[in-house]
Amino acid sequence: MSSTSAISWKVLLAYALGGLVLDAASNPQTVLPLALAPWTPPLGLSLAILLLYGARYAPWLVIVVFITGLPLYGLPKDPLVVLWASVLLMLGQLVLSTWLKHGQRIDVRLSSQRDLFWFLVAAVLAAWLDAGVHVFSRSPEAAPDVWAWLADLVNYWVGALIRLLIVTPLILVHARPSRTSLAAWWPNRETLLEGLSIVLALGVIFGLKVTDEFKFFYLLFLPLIWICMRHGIQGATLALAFTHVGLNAILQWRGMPSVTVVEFHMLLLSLAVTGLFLGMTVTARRAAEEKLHQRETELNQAMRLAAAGEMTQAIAHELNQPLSALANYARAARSMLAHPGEHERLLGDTLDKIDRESTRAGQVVRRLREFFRGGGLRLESVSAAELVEEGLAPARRRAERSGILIHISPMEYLPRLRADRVQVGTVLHNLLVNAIEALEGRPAGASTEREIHIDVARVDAAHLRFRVRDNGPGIAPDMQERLFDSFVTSKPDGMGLGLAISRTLVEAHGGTLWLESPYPTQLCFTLPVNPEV
Amino acid sequence: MLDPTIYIVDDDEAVRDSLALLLNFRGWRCRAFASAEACLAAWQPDWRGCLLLDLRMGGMDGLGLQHALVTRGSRLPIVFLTGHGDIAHARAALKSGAVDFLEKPYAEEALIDAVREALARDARQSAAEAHTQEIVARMARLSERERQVMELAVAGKPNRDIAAELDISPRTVEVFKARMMEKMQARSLPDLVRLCLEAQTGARD
Repeated sequence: MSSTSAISWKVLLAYALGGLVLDAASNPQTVLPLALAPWTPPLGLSLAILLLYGARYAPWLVIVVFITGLPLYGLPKDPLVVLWASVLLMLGQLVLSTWLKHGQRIDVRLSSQRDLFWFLVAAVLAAWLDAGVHVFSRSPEAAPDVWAWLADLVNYWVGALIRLLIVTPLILVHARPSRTSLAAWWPNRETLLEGLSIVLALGVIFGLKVTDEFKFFYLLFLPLIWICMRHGIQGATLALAFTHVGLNAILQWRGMPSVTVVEFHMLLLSLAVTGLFLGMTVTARRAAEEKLHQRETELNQAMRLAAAGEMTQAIAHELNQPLSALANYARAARSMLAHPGEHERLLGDTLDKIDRESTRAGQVVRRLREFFRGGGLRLESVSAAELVEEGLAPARRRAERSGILIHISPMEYLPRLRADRVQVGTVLHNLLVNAIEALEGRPAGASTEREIHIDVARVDAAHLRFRVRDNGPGIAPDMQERLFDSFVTSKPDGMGLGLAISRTLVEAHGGTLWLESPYPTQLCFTLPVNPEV
Repeated sequence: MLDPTIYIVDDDEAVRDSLALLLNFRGWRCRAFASAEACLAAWQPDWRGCLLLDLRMGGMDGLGLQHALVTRGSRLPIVFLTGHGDIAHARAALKSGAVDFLEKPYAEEALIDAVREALARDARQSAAEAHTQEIVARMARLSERERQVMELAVAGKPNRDIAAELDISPRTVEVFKARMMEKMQARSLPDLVRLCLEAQTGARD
């Protein structure tokens, strides 16, 4: 109970800092001269925290924002009004976040169109609340008549809604990241180009003297669509934030009149809604594709298992016939020995039959071995990287979901191999799945990252060595000796065949598979280099 | 009637041959068939002993042979031998009256015990059958009147009622009854009732 109701100071600190950054980046004072903003909880950030971490944070958020506002902006003119406004805003968000989470039961990480839609509805309401509280609490002389007052209300609402649509999804979608998902955003050529395209669009819209400010606004849709198609909702939220920051910077620098700002906000709003829904569509489609792919993989594996089971049955039957005949003959022969003289010829006959039957049993075994060695293998020239990809592809998503990092050593300079792509892929896949399951089973709260290292090296002129290493709990001493035996497993629903089959497959290639070290777990196998190259 | 024999049906020549050899040395007569069809063609109602059937064979399998023999009136106990102990087949076999279900490779003890039990069951069945046939044969020797008197007596009717029903004198009923009891070799009325029941149940099985 205590762990779920505890308040994390890290979250509060992030909230305070995030609030300051947002203030600096979006600067609501440019829209309307307001008296409350620095001390009241920032809308988007608060809603995200309430959705992610729960309603118990609400009072703390009010306090934290008020305290951080003090040294920067001094005491507000009317502290009591500010406090009332803060409490009212927080209560409104509390109601909305509770409604989203428990009424509509949305996934707070926004994983479907439906989640996004209900979030949008809540955002519209929250923005009205925010606008109402802020516009109402101004001094009466700020607006001369009811029309001016209404115009202010609508202006403020649009601004608040945009901030909400940009900040909250950004946090929700990227909350609790794993390093693998962040690694996808590490500046590479593509992300740099994507960022550059936004800068370019902004440059065309504002930078050229000849262009009118809004004429080319639609250009901003192009990089946004590109990023959405490539990175889904994650990309969409980041691109929108980047665009928004850029626009605000330009607005400050150019000093736009506030009428222009309102029109501009309307455009930005349509950009945000388009980006979010397009991004979500891409993400949802990818999730569906992944699910389909996973089903296919599972089906494939099930069919392979069924085929293996079928073959085991057939072999068992074929071996059982000579074995039971052998046993019968031997037992009969023992009875003949009771009167050896009487049955001498029959005994000789029976021993001949025993010989024949054992040869027959041997033939079954030989056929089985040939099936695996010759006929079963489809050898081709493949690179180590292709084989690693073959084994890794079906396991990658699972590793990402569990926050496991997979490091692959560079293997550009390795010679090509002669191997059956599917079978070696199966071996690597088995080793990886074992490693992933070991890491998933590791107790939570461990400080070190969960990692799997795959490296390939040349051990001699004719062989490459593949090594799969994980920093999981290791292999128990009593398991080490029987690791490669059939039907030995430490998994509750395991068959205990993965490593046994893997070893058979590697040996069929003329390689070996062994346990290099039980802790950290390291399994290695060798494969022959393609002699033709 | 033949001596008890173990009828072996297995499509694997070595298994068939070795089984017959082993069981011969244990003192039993054996006869082997290479297929279920061959066994079915050779089957006679007077076969005594038991069947050792391989479950999985080319053509008709063990369960099929069991079914075919039962529909032809065979009551030979069956021991199944199988290369893979699959529970569904074992259940089906035992439900249709198999004595035992042995998975290859089996221990010699298990085989011998199963055969022994099957033969014992067959011996019990034959004895019971012989007894029933004996009673039926005695009944067949009764005249029409004697049979009528027996049925009414077994139904619990006193002599006077039997006389009224058959429209004869009580005295005549007594004469028929005495002759009937003698032919049925029944010492008393309860003894007669038991014999009739045994004939009925034996014929029904």
